[in-house]
Amino acid sequence: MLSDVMSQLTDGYLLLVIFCSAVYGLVIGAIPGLTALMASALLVPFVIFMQPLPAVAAIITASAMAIFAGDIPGALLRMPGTPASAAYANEANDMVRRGKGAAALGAGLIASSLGGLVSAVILSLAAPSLAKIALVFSSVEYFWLGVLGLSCATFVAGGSLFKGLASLFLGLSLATVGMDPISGIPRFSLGSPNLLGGFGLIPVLIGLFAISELLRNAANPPHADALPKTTGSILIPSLSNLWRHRLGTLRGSAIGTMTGALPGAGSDIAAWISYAIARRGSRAGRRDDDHGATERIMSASSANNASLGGAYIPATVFGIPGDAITAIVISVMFIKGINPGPTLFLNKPEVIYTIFGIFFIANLLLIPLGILCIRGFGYILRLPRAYVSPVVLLFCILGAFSVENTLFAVGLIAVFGLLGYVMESNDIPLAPAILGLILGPMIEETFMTTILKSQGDLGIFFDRQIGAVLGVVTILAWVLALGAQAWPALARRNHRNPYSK
Amino acid sequence: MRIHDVVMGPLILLTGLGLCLWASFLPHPGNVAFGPGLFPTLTGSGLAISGSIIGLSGWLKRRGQPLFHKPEWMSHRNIALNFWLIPLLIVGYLLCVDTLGFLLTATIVLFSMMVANAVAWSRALPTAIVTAASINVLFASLLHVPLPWGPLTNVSGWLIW
Amino acid sequence: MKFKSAVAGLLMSLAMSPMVAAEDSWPTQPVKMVVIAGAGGGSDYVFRLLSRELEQNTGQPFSVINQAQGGGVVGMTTYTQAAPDGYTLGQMSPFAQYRLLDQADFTSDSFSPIALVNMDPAAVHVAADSDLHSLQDIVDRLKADPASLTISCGGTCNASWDIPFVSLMLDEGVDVAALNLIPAKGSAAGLQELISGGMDVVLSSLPETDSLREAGLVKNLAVFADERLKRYPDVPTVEEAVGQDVTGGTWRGVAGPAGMSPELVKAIQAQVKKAFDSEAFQQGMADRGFGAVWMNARELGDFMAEHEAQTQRVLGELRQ
Repeated sequence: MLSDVMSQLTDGYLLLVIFCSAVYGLVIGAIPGLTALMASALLVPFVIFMQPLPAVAAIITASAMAIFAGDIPGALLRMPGTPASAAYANEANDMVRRGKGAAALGAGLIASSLGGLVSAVILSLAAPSLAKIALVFSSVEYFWLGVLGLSCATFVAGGSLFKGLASLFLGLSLATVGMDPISGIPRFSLGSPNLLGGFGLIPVLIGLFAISELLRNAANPPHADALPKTTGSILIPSLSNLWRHRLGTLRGSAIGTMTGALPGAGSDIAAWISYAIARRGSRAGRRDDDHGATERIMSASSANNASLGGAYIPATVFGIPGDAITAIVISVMFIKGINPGPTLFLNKPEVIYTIFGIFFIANLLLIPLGILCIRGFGYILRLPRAYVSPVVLLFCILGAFSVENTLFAVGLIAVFGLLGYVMESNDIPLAPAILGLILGPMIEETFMTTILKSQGDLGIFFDRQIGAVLGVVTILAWVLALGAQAWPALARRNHRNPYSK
Repeated sequence: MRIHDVVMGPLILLTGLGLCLWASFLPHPGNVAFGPGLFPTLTGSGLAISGSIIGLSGWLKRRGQPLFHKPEWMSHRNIALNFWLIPLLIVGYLLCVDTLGFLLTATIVLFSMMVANAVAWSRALPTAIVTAASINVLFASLLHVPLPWGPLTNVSGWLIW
Repeated sequence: MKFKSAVAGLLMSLAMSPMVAAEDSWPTQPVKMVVIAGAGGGSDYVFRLLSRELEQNTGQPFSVINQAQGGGVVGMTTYTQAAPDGYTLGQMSPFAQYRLLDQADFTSDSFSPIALVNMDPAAVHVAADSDLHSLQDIVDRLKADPASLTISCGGTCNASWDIPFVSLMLDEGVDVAALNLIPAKGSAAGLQELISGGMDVVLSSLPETDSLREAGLVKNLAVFADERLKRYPDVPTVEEAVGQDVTGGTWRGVAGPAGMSPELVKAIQAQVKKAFDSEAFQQGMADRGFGAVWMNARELGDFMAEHEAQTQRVLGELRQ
């Protein structure tokens, strides 16, 4: 079987497809305003009529590359390219401003690649048995997982806890606009079909992060904050960083793979949980200097790429997608007749292991191509701002439109750009709002489904073993965070944070 | 635009209360025990609680800061223009793109923002045209994003590859 | 060459107004096909398959536009509000629930039906270790206590999968207003709940359970079709299982905005028929287990009216 896999993987056409989609994914991901989801969605019409393996390879490679490349505009312009990069965009951008751009991006690159490789290994060794664990999760467990993810993001967002919470509840409230997930009754839609469709994640992300950053730039005189160059070697220092932060990176990879394996919890929540654990739970990650930042970036960055691999566990074993990107991969597999399922492992193991092999190659390819991409975009994004900003604006418009295919989405980026600008000027963190919008629908749906199942009895949230454990952990996190707020002395110790001004 | 917490808190509180009020008017279908208003009421209450705490702690900590702090850029006409131009161009894009087509609208967006950023007309125009055209080729012709063609609609069959 | 023909085309198009475009020469410019589901899903697949054939036969690009927002309301609004010139078409799928739930005001008059190309019956699934062994078990259980089972709609409720089921329960005399119908984020999420023990019954199509059935985790009890499906010879029809002739499920067709001229509809219908009959389309549908079913514009129109009536009856009872 191994020789079958190898001969399939060394097929020239397949390698060419992998290479082209890698370049495509990196470029789309690295352009501010264009996201990994868009990169995968735009590939569908092309791969739908290709041979099965190249088709799957193209989507897998492009999405892995785009998830990493989202770090580049995040670090250089503070505009995270994908929701998954939002966790550490501030941190990476601070490092770039301190002249450590090459180190920050290199650390993210090597961690992404390693996270992907680790998850590929776990995937090949244990996919069927891990998938069984993921399947015991019912709506109770998903509810707690969602709440835990939200809480993590809010408690580490920095600044005032209650401003973070206000931002979180704003995001959750925005997520309720549109159709009620249970009865389908329109909420807050004012009779408009566009509002009935709700606020799309990508336009809100582009508005809150990219447009608000363009506005901030416009409000500041252009010479004030010329970026230091991202010169210096990328590969060598990142290898030494990798050794130094090996534990953080491995922990991130493990968290990412596990989170990714849970259907419904994608790379964004993986990055946030890993970031929060690094910030609070590791000695290196608590430091406020470059080492601390590198530890956090590497933990979160390895997690978001690892989660892509993790998501293939339930996807290939049971055909259950972990997130929007994996959903696209699965449908392409279905369309190409590679029907995911346990029989795929029994009857056509060479196909499934070739797919895992593709993921492996893609993550190895990430290092050389990623370095080229960092260099290239490092140069492009540092051209005079008078030229870059207009083009970024156009890409933001295009990115919002091409994911949603409505002009309403284009209007949203203007509204949320202004909102994001006002929030930032008042020290209200943006990240909890975006996470509220991502997880809001999942939390509401699982919450409502659960109480509908129990017909109103809240005890059901602690009835199941795993659910009860997750619930207790979540409640403890809240007690600790609120407690820390109540004892000001303690709060001062815990809330030293690089971006509270 | 900095708003003091004493004002910001109540604003958030009112948003939360408004949401709860609105949610209470949502219809309640007979066949489910919990209506569509339940979750918005929870998130609205969350907003209201965080808002009141922000307002209260702002009140306790206020030391003669102004309630509104007008940022410096608002008094410079050039910078203010640069700032407001961004949302204006986005709105302009969505109003015009269906009639004018992507190519023309994108050129106008790029050109006006470059000129506002003090790029000379003679350099801004060619840059805008070339950039808009390449984006149009890349996304509409090659990647098949359904961008409107405007006056070119009738011949766009030849322009999508 | 390309440039020259583009210029020639531009001049030509400037010379003649688009109104003059004769119906029998449809299409003379690219056609937009609005799909009310996301990229990569089942609907997307069916329409991309169809569009590719149309593109090859007519020589004009057919661009598939995915607008899944609002459960399809956004996409349907887009194409029903477009000019009825045959250049903006869209996916026709169950629509009557939108008006009954105050989500939108589509009636069958909002569309110009063109053709139906696909129909997939709903089916009833339980976990493999469930003590429900047949549809009759479920009916008996629900007759005794309508709220005793948790039933996943395999998507939003009041939609393709649960309406035939509720319709059956109405015929069986179950108090349907008390049923514990629970929506899910798509059938995959509903099936996940089923296996994790959070749900007793899931309603969805048969192909959607392929991988889980092969894994020995899911049992299919009955299918809401007139006769057993070729791909699933072991799954009995509802009539065989409990003796009531109830059918239903989801379907996909092509429609345009209201007010298209009959000649134009005829011209488009002819092209769609050609694409439908192509080997590539039939093979592509069979590959994924989708039922390729043809109805022309008139038949689709009658079918839509029937669909409105069934939906009205079920939702009326549910919301009492």
